[in-house]
Amino acid sequence: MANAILLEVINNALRSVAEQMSATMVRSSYSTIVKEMMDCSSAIFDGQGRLLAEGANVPIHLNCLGPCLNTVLTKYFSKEELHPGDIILTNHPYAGGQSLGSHHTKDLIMIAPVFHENNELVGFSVTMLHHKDVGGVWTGDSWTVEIWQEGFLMEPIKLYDKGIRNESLWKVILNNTRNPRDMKGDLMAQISACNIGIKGFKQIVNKYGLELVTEITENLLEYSEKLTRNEIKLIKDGKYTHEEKILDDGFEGGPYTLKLTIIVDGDSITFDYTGTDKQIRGPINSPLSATISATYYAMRCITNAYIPSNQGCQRPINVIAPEGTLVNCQMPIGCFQRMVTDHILVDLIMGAMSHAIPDKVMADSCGTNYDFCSGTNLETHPRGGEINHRQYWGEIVPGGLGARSNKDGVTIMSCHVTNCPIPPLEAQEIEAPMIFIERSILPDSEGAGKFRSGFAQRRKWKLVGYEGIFSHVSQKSKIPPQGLFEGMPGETSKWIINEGKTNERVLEYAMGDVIFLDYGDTITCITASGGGYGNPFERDIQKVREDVEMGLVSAENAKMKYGVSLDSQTFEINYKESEKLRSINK
Amino acid sequence: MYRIGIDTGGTNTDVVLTNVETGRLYYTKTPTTPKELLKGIKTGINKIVNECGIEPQDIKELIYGTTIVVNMIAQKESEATALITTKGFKDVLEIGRAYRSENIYDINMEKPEPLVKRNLRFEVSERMNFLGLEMEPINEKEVVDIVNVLKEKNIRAVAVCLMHSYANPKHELKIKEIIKREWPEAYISISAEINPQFREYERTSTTVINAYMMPNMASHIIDFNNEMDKSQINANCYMMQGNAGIMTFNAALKKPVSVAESGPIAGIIAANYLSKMLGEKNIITLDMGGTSADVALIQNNVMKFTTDSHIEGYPISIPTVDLSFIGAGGGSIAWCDDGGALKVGPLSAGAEPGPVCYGKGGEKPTVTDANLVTGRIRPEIFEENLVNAMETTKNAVDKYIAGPLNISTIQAAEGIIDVVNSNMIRAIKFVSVQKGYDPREFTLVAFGGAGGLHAGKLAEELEIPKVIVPYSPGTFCALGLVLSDIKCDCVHSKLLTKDQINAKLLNEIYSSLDKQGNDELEKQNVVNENRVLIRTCDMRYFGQAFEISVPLPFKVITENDIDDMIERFHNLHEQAYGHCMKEDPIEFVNYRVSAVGTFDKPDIVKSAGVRKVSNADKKIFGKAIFNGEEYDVPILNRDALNIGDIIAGPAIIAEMGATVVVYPNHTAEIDEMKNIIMYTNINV
Repeated sequence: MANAILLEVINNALRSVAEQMSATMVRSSYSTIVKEMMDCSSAIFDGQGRLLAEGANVPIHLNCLGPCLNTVLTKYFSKEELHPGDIILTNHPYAGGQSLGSHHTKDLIMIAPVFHENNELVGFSVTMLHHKDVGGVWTGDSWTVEIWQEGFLMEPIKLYDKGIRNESLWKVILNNTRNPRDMKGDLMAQISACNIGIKGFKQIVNKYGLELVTEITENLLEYSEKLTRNEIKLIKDGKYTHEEKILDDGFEGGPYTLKLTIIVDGDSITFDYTGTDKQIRGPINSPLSATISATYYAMRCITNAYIPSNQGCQRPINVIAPEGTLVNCQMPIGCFQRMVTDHILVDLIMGAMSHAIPDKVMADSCGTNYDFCSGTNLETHPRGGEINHRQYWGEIVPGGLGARSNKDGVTIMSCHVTNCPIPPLEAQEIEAPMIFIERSILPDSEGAGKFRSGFAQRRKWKLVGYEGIFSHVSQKSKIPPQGLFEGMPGETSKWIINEGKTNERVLEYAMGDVIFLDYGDTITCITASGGGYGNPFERDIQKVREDVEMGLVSAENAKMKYGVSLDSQTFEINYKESEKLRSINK
Repeated sequence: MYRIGIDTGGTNTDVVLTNVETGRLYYTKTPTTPKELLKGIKTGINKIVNECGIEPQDIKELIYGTTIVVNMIAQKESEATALITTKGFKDVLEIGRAYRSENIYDINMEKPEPLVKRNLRFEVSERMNFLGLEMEPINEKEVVDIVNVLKEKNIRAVAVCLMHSYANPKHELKIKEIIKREWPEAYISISAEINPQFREYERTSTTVINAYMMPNMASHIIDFNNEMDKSQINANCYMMQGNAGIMTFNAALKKPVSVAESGPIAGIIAANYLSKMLGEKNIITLDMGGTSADVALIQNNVMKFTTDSHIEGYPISIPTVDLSFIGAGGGSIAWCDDGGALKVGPLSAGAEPGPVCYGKGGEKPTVTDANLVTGRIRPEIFEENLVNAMETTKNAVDKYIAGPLNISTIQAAEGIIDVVNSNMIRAIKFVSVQKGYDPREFTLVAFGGAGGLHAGKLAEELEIPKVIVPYSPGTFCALGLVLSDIKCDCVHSKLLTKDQINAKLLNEIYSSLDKQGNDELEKQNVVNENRVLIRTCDMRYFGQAFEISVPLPFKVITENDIDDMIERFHNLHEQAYGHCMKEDPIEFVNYRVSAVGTFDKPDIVKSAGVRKVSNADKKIFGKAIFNGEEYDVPILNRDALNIGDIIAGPAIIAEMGATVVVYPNHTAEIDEMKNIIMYTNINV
C-alpha cells in the first residue's frame, strides 16, 4: 500500500492549510480574546461534511465545527443550494432544533463550500471566531436564563451568496453589537481565513486529482480510526462510573450532579451521561455539541495525543447525553457559560478512567475562572472601545492543574478544554482604565500528594476608570478539586471586592449577575488549584524541602501535609522526626 | 588583509579564510569539541593558516559564530541569577503566558523551568503607568537590602525588569546605579536597555536570559582572547548575532542574548549575498543538515525579522531573523506507526550512531539511507565509506518499513524521501504561503550537506522554477560570517494613534534612536562613511495585537511621509492577511533603527575563477531510481564541471560533504561562480 506515503503527505498538506487559516485569524483580529488568547478555530471537511483536518488552539473547539456543519447540511441547505462564493453564517446554539449548532452566541461560525471543476462540491472551509459583543443584556457576560439574553441569534444564513455580500444582513449584525468596528474587523479576518481554506484545499485537489484525494482522505479517516481503536483496546473491558458535583450556581443553589458511565467494549467506547441532572435556569448548561467536544478532548488526553484529528477518531466513540440535561440543554435555556460544565466533564472522565488506567489520568484541575470587566476614562483612554468609549479587559485566569501519576501538576496553566494564553498585563493597562497590583503564585494552595498539584494564582487589579461593569466565574469555589488515590483536594477559588478595605466584599457565589464598580475599587481573584495524586506522606522528602525553600510551601504545612519536619530558615531536614511523623500518618 | 570566519556547529567547526583584497577564499572543517569549544577552534585556525600559507598575525578580523548561548541555556550550566521586579510581579517569569503551545492534548506537558528560581526573585515598591508617569516612587532602601542579600549569597548576575519601564526607565536606571555602587562586581542587565518594548513577560524573559549569560560570556571571551594571544593572533574580534549582524566582543559582553539565535544565520547571510550578486531578489533559503532544516524567506534581498522567537521554550523579543525550523535532516529516522502510516523524525540518528549506511551501529533507516538505496547518494564519491553499506541498509529499510507496510524496498525508500519532503514543504509554506507570499515567485537557495539532495524535488512540488546550489554547500554557512556587517538594533515603544502622531514627534523619536545607533557604532569603531541607519516602524490597526513592520526613509520626516507609511501599512496588511481596512484608525507602536557598520566584502566571483579543478574528469554512470523507474544516470564530480556546462536530469553531482540531485526533466547549468543553477521546467 503505497498510500502509506501519500497519507502522510496529504495529511501534512491539509494540516498546513488549517494552520494557516487559524494563524490568519489570530494575527489580524481585533478582539482581545482572539488576538491575545487565540479563541478561534478552523477546519477542512470533505464533500460529505466529514472532518479532515483542523487548526484548533482551544481544545473545546475540537470538532466543534462538525456537528454544526452537519446541522446546516441536514436542516438548512441542501447541497444543490450551495454555490461557489457562498459563505454561510450562524451563531445559534439551538439551530436545527437540538443543541448541535454554535457552542454559544458569541462563537460565529462561517461555512464556505469548496467547489472543484464542473461545480462539483468537494469540501468545506469552516472557521469559528469568538466575537467580543453580540448584544445581550449587558456588555461582557452576565447571568442569563434565556438564550435571547445572550445576544442576537442567527440561524444559518448566507452572508455571501455567489460571492455577493448580503449588505442588509451585514448591517443588522453591526447594528446589534456594542463594538461595530471590532466586529467588522473580526468578521473580515474570518472571511479571509475561509477564503484561504478554499484556495488551499482546491490546490490539493488540483494537484493530486479528486479521485486520489478522495481515496487518500478515506484512508486518512480509517487510519485515525484504527489508531484510536488500538488505544481503546488497551483499556480493560468493563463499566466505569464516576460522579462530580457542581455547587456553584448563583440563583438556585444546588448541588447539581453530573454522572457518567463509561463502557469499554473491545475497540469501542461509550460515554453515557444518563443520570446527570436536568438543565438549570442559568448559563452553565452545555449544548450537546460542546459536550461532544469535551468528551473527545478527554479521550485524546488519555489515548495518544498525536493521532491526526479527523472524523475517524470519533467513529469508535459513542456519546449518550439525555435531552434537557446539563450536558444536552434544549431551547431556550441560557448556555454561554457551558465551560463550567465542560471542564467538569473532563474531571469526570478522568475520575472514571482512573479505575481502568490509573497511570494515564490526572487529578482534578482548577476549572473555569475568569473575569471580564469594562469601564470608561476619557482622560487616559479616549479612543477605541465601543461606541461610548467603554474599554474592555479580562482574562480566563489560569490556576493549578491536577497532579499526574508520575509527576507534579503544572502551576498556573490553562486548564483542559480552555487553552487561552493570558494577555500581557501591560497591554491590558494600555488598552483600558485599570491597573494591576499583583499577579503571583499562591503559596500553600496545592493539593498535597505523593505528587502534588500545581499552585493556584492570586491576581489583583484596581479600576482607574468609571462605570465599571464586572462579571466573573470561579467554578470551584465551594467544592475543591479532588485528588486521586489518597491525594488531597486543592484550594478553592474566591473573588473579593476591595480586599482588606472597610467595604470588603467576598463574592458569595461562584458566578452571578454583573456587578457595578466605582473608581478605585479593587478586585482580587484567587483561582482554584488541583488535586494531589497518591499519599502525601510518600512524597519525596527532598521535593518537599525544595518547595519550602522556594517559598511555595510553609514549614508548618510541610509538617502537617507531608510529615516533613524542617527548619524554616536553613531548610535542614529533621529526618528522625519526619520518619516518625510519616510512619504514624501512613 | 585577511578575515577569518569560524562557525561552531553541533558536529563540525567550519572555518573560512578570505583575503579581502583578492577575494580568495579558503575553507576547512574540523570536529567540534563541545566540552572545550576553543580546542576545536584552535585546530581549525591552525589548519587553515597552514593550508594557505599565511602567518597568524596576518589575520586582522575574526568573526565568530557560536552556539555557546544555546548550549548553556539547554544545559542550564550558568551560575545562579537573580531578578528584581515591581512589587506584586516576581512570579510573572514563572507564570509566563500560561498556555499549551506544543500539543494541547498532552497531559504530561511541563512548563520550561524558569532561569531564575523563586527564592532569587525579589520585589521592589515602585510603579510607573503605561504613559511613563510615576505612580509610586522607588523605595531605594528595599533595593539596598536586596543587594546585600545578593552579595551575601554571591549572586553576581542580576536582571531587572519593572512594569512599563519601556515608557520610563528612571526606576530601572536607579536600581542599576545602586547595584553598581553597592556591588561593583555584579553583572547587571536592565530591561530598558536590553529590550524596551511593552509585554512584560517577554521583556522579562529576554532580560533574564541576558543576565543569565553575562558571567559565562565574559569568561568565554577572556578564554578566547587568551587563546588568540597564544596563537599570536591580534585581530579585531566579532560575534554573530541573531539579527544577521555582528558585534564586537565588547558589545557581546553586555548583550549576550543577541547571540542566542545566531546558529543558522550565517548561511542565510551568504545566501542573500550570493543572490544579490546573481540578481535574484526573492529567495527562499533551505539549510538542511544532519539533524534539522532551517527555512527563511527573503524579499527584495531584505531579510525578514521577528520579535517573537523562542530558545529552549523561553521567549526572546529582540529582533531575530524570521525562520522556520524543523527536525528533518539526513539523520532523521523513518518509522511506521500503529495505524500503518510512514513517519520520518523527529527522532534523529545524529552523528552517533548515525545512519545505517555509516556502519557505526545505526539500526533504523534514515533519510540518508533512503537516498543511498535509491541511488541518489553515491558510495563511490560520498565522504563516508559506504562501499559495503548497500546490503545492510536495504535490510534495515526492509525490516522497519517495507516489510510492515508490505511494499518493495525501493517504494519504501522513495516513500521516506516523499514524507520528509512533505514535512519540509510545510516548513516552506509556513514562511511563504502563511505570510502571504507565493513560493512560485521565489528562487530556492539550497545548502547544507543534504540541501541539494532534496531541493529539486521540493521546488517541483512547490512549482518553484529555479534552484541555486552554491559551491561547497557544506561550508556555505561559514562563508556568511566573512560577508557580514556590524549591526545594532535600537527600539522605542510608544503607542500613538494617527491623531496623536506628527512629523515633529516622529523626528524626535527617530533622531534619538539614530543617536543611540551612532553611539553604539562609535563604540564598535565604525567610521562615519561606513554607517547605515535603517528605520522601521511597527504599526497595526487600532485594537490589533500584532504589528507589521513598515520601512521609512532615513531623512527628515514630513507629514507626507506619514501618509506614505500608512499607505504602505495597508498594502502590507492586505498582503499578509488578505484584507485591509483603509477607513480604520491606525496605531504606531514600536519605532526601530538598525544601525549597520559595513565591512568591505571579498569578491566571490573572482574567487571562483581561481578554484582548482581536479582531474577526476572521468564520466561514470550508475543506477538511480526516481518515481519507481530505474535510470542510468551520470555521476559527476562537481570539481570537474566547467563554467557553462549544461546538464540534463537525471544526474547526480557529488562533492566533498554534499550531493546535488538533478531530477528527471530538470536541467542544470554551471554559472561563472560555479554555482549549480537548476531549472524545474514547470510551465508556469
